[in-house]
Amino acid sequence: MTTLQLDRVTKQYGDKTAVNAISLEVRQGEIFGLLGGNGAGKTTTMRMVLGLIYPDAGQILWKGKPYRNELRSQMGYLPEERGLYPKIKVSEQILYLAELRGLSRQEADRNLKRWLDRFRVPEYYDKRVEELSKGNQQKIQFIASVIHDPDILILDEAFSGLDPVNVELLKETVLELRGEGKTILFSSHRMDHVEELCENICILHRSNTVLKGSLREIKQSFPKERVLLETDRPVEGLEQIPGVLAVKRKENGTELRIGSDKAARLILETAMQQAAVNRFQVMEPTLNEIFIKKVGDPHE
Amino acid sequence: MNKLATVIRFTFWNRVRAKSFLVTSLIIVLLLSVAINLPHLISAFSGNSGSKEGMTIGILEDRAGYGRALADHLGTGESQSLRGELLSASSEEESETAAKKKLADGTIEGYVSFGAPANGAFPAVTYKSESKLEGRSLYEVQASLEAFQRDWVVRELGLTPKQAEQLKAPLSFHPVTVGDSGEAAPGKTETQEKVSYFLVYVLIILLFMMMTMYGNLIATEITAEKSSRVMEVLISSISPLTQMFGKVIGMLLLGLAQLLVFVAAAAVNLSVPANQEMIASLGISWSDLPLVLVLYLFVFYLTGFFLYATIYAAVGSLVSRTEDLGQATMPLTFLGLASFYIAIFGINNPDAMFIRIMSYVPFFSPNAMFLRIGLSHPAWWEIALSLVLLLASILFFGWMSAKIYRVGVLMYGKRPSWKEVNKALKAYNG
Repeated sequence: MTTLQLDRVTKQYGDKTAVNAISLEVRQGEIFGLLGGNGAGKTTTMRMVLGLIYPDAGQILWKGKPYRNELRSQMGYLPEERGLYPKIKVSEQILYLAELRGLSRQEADRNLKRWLDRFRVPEYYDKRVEELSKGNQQKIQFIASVIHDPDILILDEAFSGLDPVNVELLKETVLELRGEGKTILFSSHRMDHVEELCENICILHRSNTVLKGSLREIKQSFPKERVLLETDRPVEGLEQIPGVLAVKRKENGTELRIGSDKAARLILETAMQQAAVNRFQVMEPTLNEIFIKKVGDPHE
Repeated sequence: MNKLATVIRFTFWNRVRAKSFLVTSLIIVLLLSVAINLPHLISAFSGNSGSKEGMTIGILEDRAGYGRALADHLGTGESQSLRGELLSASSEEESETAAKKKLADGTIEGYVSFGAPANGAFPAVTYKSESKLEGRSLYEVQASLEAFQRDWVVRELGLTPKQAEQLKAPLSFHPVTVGDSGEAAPGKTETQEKVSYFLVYVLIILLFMMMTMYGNLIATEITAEKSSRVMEVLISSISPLTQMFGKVIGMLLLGLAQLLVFVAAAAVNLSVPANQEMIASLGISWSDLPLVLVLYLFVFYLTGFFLYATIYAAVGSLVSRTEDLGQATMPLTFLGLASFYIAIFGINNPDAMFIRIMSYVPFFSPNAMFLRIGLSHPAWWEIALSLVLLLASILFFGWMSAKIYRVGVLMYGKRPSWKEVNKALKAYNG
């Protein structure tokens, strides 16, 4: 079932087009990756999905219907930048935000305690947000976005500022929420996270959609240009093989760039003649590579 | 409605619990207590030293005999607190030197000398002292001299004691104001006038103080919510309108709560016996407090507060960093100041055309109209018209502010120009 449907949605600020005719669909129980460099229109798109701003053209449907007020209690939002009161206790502000989403105070309190336990930080209940580290603030921010058990979850850079242990913790949580049937719109600059979590993605660049579809199909549609080779002793003459564009020797092996499929076979043959091959792999392009190819440097 | 209450509660309690709020309230309560007790404290200190010991002044003898007569007059004891000491010497220069010496010793506070009488008129009197004569002492010296002058003239004219008595009798004067409709509206008595005066001052100061304080507080909180990006979470949960009005109402209630504390503090201080006497001596009694006027005070306080507060909220929504806020709220601060000074001017001229006009101009009318109600007699339709205009402008500016707010809270970066805001507003409509 399609929970979220954007149909040629356009938003303009004055003469500037912030989002140009974006179309996407997110099914229930799916994590949809919305990617793009800074200023590509991700945040504007998310704000339109949240109903904070209205599109100038096109339409958005939530569960098949246009925007209505009851959606406010069914959507959760984690903004890109910290969105908490720095000087107010965690419990007070989370309960406030939950109440605004339509939860009763008791219910919100129960949920908050459960989430704090789950993130192994029950002692934060009475702490002020400014006392917490950036990563822990992010956990609280995450709790704020899911405390009311929303059906639609919008996560803008959910994992920023977290250490690897906490990234895993949150990633697990996000996957679990998907398992519960939540619809999740997810944005990140970290392509590896997107690759791990998302089935379908959409890449925005300067307000336009440059790439959209299933992550697997997208990857398959890009030529396999990378070969990994590990041998027990160095292999000579790889550079001379026709179709090989570049050779990079690393500690754990050799990485080659190739221009055609034929080159891969020739590399393997050459290697086997000279040494025992421990590993030979024709690599799929990573999302990072695809992104850079389409957009340029994502961290501009 | 439920969510509005949530926002109001959150706004209210967070501020009440904040240390800054408690400290400010405490300071104002202290200042208030000091201010209320100041008059009787001052009189307690200066009164004791001044009136018990009394004051001795030197009197230079002169040829016409005024000096000797004054010394006799003071000696006869009409005013025991002021004693005269006649300084006679062979020449005026000598007596002046003696006076200066006594002045230096501290046996006299100052000395008077009479000028030459011209054409039989009472001569000019000069008083010389080391420190400037002030307040009660000045009044006392002058009054004694005036009484002496009157007695002198009466004697010169050869009036009978009865004639002299008639001359001295004070005028029985009763100022009473009447309403426009003549007899129907009872005029205000003198004490009622005083109470009205007092209430007008209260509103003017209160409205200015509370508006500036809470207006800025509202704007600061909104800007802080914006810059900490809580705003995005907030307005994805509730409508920006609910958020804005919740904040304004929360602050309004907070202001009222603070007022209640102030009023309580004032009441406690005023119930001190010394202050009760002071009030009684001013001729004010609380039974004269016109309830209608108190009601009007509330009406104009609330409407004035609301009008300014919503605009402060809109301004706060346009600014992304608290550092820029002062500059952005400047025009509003000036507006508040203008309203304050217009009212201060109007206290002495409640019927001036300027004040009449201002009592219909929304930003100034809360002060100006209340002032007219308190100190003059505007017709009922004038009050109604002023209130209708005020309410209409609250609706208009509330609507405007709400519009600006919805757009403003999502605008970041440098402070937007009016052109940009206008553009954004149009874009929002489309």
